[in-house]
Amino acid sequence: MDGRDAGARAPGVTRRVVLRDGTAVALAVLVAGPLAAHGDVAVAVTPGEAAFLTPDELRALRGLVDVLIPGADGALASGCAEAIDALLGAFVVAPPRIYAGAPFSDRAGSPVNHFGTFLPLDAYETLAWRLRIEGSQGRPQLEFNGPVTGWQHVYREGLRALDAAAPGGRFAALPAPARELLLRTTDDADIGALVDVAFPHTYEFHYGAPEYGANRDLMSWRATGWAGDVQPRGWTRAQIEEAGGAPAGAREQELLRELLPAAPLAASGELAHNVLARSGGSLTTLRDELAGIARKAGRRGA
Amino acid sequence: MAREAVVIGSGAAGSVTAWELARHGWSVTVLERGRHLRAGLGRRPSAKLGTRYGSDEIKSARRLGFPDGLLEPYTARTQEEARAGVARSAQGALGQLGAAVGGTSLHYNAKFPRFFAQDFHQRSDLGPVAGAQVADWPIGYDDLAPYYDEVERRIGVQGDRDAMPARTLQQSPRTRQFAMAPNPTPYVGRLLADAARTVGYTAFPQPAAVNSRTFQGRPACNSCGLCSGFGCPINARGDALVTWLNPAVRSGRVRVIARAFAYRVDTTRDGRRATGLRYVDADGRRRRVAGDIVVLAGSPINTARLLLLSAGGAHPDGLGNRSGQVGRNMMFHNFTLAAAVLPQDVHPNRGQSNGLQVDDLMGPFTGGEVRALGVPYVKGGLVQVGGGVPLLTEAAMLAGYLGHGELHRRAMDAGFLHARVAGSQLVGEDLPQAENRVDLDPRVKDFRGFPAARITYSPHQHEKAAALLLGPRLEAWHALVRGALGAAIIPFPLISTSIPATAHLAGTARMGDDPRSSVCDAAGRLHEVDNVYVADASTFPTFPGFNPTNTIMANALRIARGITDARTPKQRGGAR
Repeated sequence: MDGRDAGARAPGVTRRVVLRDGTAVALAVLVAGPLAAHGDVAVAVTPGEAAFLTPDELRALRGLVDVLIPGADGALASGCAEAIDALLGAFVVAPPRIYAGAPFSDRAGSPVNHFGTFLPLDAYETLAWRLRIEGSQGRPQLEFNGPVTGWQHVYREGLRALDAAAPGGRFAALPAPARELLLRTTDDADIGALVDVAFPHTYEFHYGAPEYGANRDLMSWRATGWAGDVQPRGWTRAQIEEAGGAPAGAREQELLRELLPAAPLAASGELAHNVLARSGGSLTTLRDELAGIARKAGRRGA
Repeated sequence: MAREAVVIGSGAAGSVTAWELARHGWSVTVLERGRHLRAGLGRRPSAKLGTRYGSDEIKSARRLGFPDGLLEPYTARTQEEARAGVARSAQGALGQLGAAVGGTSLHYNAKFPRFFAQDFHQRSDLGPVAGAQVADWPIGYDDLAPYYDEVERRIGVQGDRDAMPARTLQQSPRTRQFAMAPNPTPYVGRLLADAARTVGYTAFPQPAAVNSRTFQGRPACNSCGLCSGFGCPINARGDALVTWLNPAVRSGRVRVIARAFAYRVDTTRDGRRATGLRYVDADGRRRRVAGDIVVLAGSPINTARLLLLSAGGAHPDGLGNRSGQVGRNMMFHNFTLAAAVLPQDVHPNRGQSNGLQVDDLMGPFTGGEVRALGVPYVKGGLVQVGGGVPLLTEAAMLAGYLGHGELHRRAMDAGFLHARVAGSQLVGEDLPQAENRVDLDPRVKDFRGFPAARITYSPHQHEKAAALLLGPRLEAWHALVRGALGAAIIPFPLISTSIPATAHLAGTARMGDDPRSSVCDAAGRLHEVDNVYVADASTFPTFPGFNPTNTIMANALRIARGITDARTPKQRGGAR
């Protein structure tokens, strides 16, 4: 079965796949009954973990991340909704979970996982991250360039709008293809604003280090063949110099050819880093930035 | 009694300056708007400093050690928008370098080439270019060469002189072999080097301030691949902090005030002398520090902003701005990216990033082919060979390109960008233009209430011509990579109207002999103020296509030594 094919998947299939994963069993058992009755997505939050969102909001968010990065080992199973909720409530705990510790995790030779303890923020960083998450909320000293809408508000309004847009009132209860189609066709500004920040958050948590709350069991690194953080072990000369492995299959090669115009984006980590920085975490800005590339390279419009 | 200096910025230029001044007995206050990220600064040897960096992509994406785009935005617009009266079309983290003690060098790629001799007298050699303010430097390569030598010796540079092409050595002569041998060349580098050879180009190990053996107690690089945008978690990289600032602070003559935002240089009533500097401290209090000299080293956009914020009295248009040149000639490197896509995993992230360099697209190119592009000549730049992006960066790039969902997921699982691309980047020269400038935004402010820097920028026809001329050559080279499914380029000057997405910045306070057309003299001193110096890349009259840190450090050392030679009482020793 190709669990990544969202278009072919029924909600029950997701649950079966999740149940194969030992660590997810307890969670799935917690929710299997009632959610199954609603045909809902099948991964829950551990009770008491919710940091900012209400249970209904978190349920809608789980339905959303499931279509942003689909698959049995996609964003839903990897814990992205819970990680986003924790980000929205980052300042509930001290230090806030913004920057993981350093220099090493325990995945590549360090006996200690420094990533597991988060860095204290200084006053500047606290101000910046509170403003980003909570918004200016009418406080004049924070509105030096006008009001700032915080992520908390964007998620709250966007998730409410998602449920409102779902015919039965619960976005997460829709089958995945219907959720995807709803996202594709909606003109709702609150939903647009939600996806604008939620997809960047989702891929950040899904593909980033697991200490930030998602990428459970390193599932995204396994799926993509990514080695993760390799310090302090690094790479040996033999590993650095060795030729690549077996070639991709025919279907993958077809995809690689199709994506060819975007390949140079991999040529410069520095440029990519700066492109990302000025997007300010907004998918729309990022797409605007890359739209010219797509168009002028004769490819997809944004 | 020790003389007092105030240095603004603790990055490549500021740290070198502080080190040199302290070594000659000066007492130095360094103001840095960012925070401390290396525990033990001033208390431990550089080999024993802690770090808040790791191979953590989320931390990198969240910009630890950078200014915040909400609290301290810059704004930007194109020249065309400026002419149409558009105040700004973008706002946020635009063109912002790092803000941390040690500056951007904490997370730079540490590539350490030298400029070519031809770059210092481009105007004389090649003539004027319409619409550009190309100027000779008031110094030549030979003036800088001893400082290149000294900087490279102290910071520790890997490379292989024997592998460098004859023209590279002729244009940037080296008296000795590099201090360290290169890191192992990754598989992807060899693929690209082989293809380069088939088109007549020479790929050689790019000089880098990265240890390939234990150097000054710091370990050898283990080729983890996460360099640019990441602090080195094992302390294998030479940078402003470990090489210059920390030894300087340990001398006892340098103090660093972190989270200090400098907003005004005070002068005497006649404007001829600076008396001190005003700044906002970490608690938001306005403070003042006095000094015999003030050295601006906060990087080009911030240096211009501070000079403009210091307007008043004898300097109504900004400090040292009688020429009207402060903020003008803002230059960024213009990248053209190239890539071959391969069916197998070629491990682009295994190995020190961009380990090889090609100089065959440096130029200048002239002749009918070039004139047909509407410019008298084209200068390209070095090509950094064998770059890669890590996983989360790939996810973001593909999100911008494809949006969310199934196709994004499939491209990620196929390892498209992080595994199957052999890529390179041409670091394209940007000609100086009067209308590419930094000024103060009339409305947008930072959280302290000071006007934001506003950048007006459009590439010159030269940059577009360079991409048109050299882009196809890059593409042809990459198409010849053995086993490639295909090749493609992204010529940013032809495609993007935004300011280039790069940490390579120069201009805004160019040095020159003529006070009517330059901001400071060859010694870095403002023409109009006797004791204010500019030591960073703001001083560069042109911006040839090389990673700039080596030249920033060498030029800062040259400027600082000019100060110590001229102004230092006979007392020596200290910072080591």
